[in-house]
Amino acid sequence: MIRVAAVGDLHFGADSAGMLRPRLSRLADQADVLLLAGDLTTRGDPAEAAVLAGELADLDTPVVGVLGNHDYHQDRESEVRATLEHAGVRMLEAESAVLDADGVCLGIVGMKGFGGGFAGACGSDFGEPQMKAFIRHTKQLAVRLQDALNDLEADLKIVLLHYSPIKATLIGERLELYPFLGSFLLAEAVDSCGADLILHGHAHHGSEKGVTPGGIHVRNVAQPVIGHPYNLYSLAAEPRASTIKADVSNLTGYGG
Amino acid sequence: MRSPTDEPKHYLVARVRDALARDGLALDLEVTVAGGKVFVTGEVPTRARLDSITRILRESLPGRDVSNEVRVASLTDTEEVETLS
Repeated sequence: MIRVAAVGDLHFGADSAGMLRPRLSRLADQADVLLLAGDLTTRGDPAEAAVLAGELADLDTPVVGVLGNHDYHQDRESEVRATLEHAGVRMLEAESAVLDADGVCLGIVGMKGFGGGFAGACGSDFGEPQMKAFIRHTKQLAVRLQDALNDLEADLKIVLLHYSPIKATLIGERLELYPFLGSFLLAEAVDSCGADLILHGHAHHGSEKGVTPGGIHVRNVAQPVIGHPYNLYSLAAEPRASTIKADVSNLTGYGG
Repeated sequence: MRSPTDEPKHYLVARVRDALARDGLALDLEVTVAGGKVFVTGEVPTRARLDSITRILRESLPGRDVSNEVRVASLTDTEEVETLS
């Protein structure tokens, strides 16, 4: 059994020091990994990321995250990422991480994602350069997500996004905002490869639970949605018969 | 010349949300206009952000009657585990 803690949309600022670490006191007993679903800062300022990094440093539990749209606001997303990685957080963008928990290999593919909308009411790759760029960006991200998932060997696979892959976890948001909150292309990419769980944030007024058209669990873990410091999910898997070489060199808290 | 209270509320709401968004604050806030008064509701994580909202509203809505009903959010501890099969 793998136990996953997850939260998104922490929106850390200079005023956030001391707001998270005290709420993580039981995390090591509750979860094998903590997943962060983007919008880790308020304005994409590396100084804000440094405050969050201070809260996550030296945790016994490995932490894996993706960036969100807020983390790109100052065009310093690489510095935001580096600040968190320096504190031991494994940040992913169309990349994967694997960790071993009680003989079960957990693979995580992470990506921010982007918008575009959902089947039947989505943008098209047509018209002005800006519109085509908007839609083509998500198309390209979906291809990269699919490639990362296809390359991942693990007993359990979790996809960690910021943007939503489905509409159901947006229920509660204004309909006019749906194209800016996610894209069905993300769900299609994951359904084509298979996974055990998709986690996302971004939609503060959305709903927690949904499922992709292919039957994969989706959970919106934006903190305003879940109302907790993090949510907990457990997944069962049979350990693979073959030996998996786990790349955990970039994960904190790994005992190896 | 249009007075502050003549601005169509559709554009006023958009302008206020834009001012809040520039500080990364608009996400969880609702701005409505009723009876000539501007109401702002929602939750933010810290007192400091609530103070920022107060400042932004004062700067962007001079001469307007404003009701800032934004609260500081509270979180309950994580107790339950969802088992996914």
